[in-house]
Amino acid sequence: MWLLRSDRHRRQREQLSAYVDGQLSSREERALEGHVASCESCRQALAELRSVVALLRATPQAVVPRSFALHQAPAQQPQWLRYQTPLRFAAAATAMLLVAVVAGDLATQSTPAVLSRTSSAAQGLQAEDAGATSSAVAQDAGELDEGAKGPALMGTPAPAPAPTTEVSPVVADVSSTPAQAAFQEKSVTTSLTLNDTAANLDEPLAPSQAQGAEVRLTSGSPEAGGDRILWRWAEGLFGGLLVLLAASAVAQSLLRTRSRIRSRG
Amino acid sequence: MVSLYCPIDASQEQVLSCTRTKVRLLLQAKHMDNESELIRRSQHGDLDAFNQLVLSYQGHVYNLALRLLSHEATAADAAQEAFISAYQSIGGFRGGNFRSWLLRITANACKDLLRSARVRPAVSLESLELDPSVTPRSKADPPEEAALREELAAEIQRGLDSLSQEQRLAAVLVDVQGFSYEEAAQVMGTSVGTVKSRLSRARGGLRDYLRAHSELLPAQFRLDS
Repeated sequence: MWLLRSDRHRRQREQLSAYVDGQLSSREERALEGHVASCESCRQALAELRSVVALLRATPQAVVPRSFALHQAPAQQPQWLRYQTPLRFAAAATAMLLVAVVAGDLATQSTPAVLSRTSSAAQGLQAEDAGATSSAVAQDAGELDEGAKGPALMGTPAPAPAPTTEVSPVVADVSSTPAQAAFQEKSVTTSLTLNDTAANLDEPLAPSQAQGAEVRLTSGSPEAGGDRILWRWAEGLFGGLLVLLAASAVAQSLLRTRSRIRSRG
Repeated sequence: MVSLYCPIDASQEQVLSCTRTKVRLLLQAKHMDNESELIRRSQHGDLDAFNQLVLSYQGHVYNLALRLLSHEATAADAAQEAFISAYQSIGGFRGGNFRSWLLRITANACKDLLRSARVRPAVSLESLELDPSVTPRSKADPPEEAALREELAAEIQRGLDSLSQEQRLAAVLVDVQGFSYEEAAQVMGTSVGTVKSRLSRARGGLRDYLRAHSELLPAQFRLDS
């Protein structure tokens, strides 16, 4: 009971300020007046509040020391910059959409890499060259190794001296053999997308060891047709928009800096 | 709510009052029309039109800056900066209350100044000189009365300086400049409820300050009197 009364008292105290300005509803006002009539401390708080407000209202207005009229017109913002806030939101939204599109692309991806090994490339395969293979290619291979769908074709063993296996589009999974095959980076031809290439290249191998390498060839999924082209269109479109918006943001900041310099000079 | 309806059997006094209200409203509407026209011309780069707006509002702008910064020269700089920014961005003004829009720019200019130049209001207070000619008093007021008022104004300014920036802005807008809660909310870029609570805290803070410094206040203004 005491707690309830104290809570009510606290709430009424908070409303005193709005009450002084006549900002309470008539119901709240009646409730507050009833409380103030029976509460000595609230009555005193109300009186003090009224004094403070009266003091503030009596504060004199200062005379303006000089005219603030502008003698020279500072540069105004160009018309199109008036939409800078919507432009920023649009840029952020486009960036998020782009990320979503790329992520969606990766998630639904089962596209094969085009892997071509020419006999000359394979013949030139050497241990030191293989060590220079890009790590990105190695990472992609790891993902695609698990994510590859569709029927797997067991390819013929590719002997190193004359490995003229050229299959397109295929994913080459060379990690299934105990002795992993290594390829030179130049021997891996990537398709249009950046993440299509797959090859797990960990250890460099001599050409003689590569003879035993078994290359499993996985074909691409059937959906890698029309949908894929659509995705690419969407990617290109959003990417272009993003570049446009980024350029507009840069132009905007440059213009703003120029107008600031002008207005100060 | 003012009624513009004048009954046939109205007394002469009632008719007079009704006519006065009508004239006032007409003048107000004309002023608004005039202001909209000046804004439109300013948006097309007419500096003279903008300067007319400056002359109309420079009192409000300067006084707000002075109360927030407590320093005449800095307040004048803030007011000038606010008018320059207003001119540059007036193209973005999409109607509504021009005074609120302008004072919002002023409040932001003051915040920027406080942040970047690290102006300390309490230190610079000594140089605050309120013009006695604007103090609302009659000519018959003795000099002691004027001195008391100045002393009181300086004490209130110190009390305002003891508040947080947001609370000070609420108290200055509503209590010193006499704005409605709605207009104060527009200037502060917040809701009426927030204005209400900030104002309540600001008044409470001022009460505590004045209580603690009551010996500095003229006797008739002491809270415990």
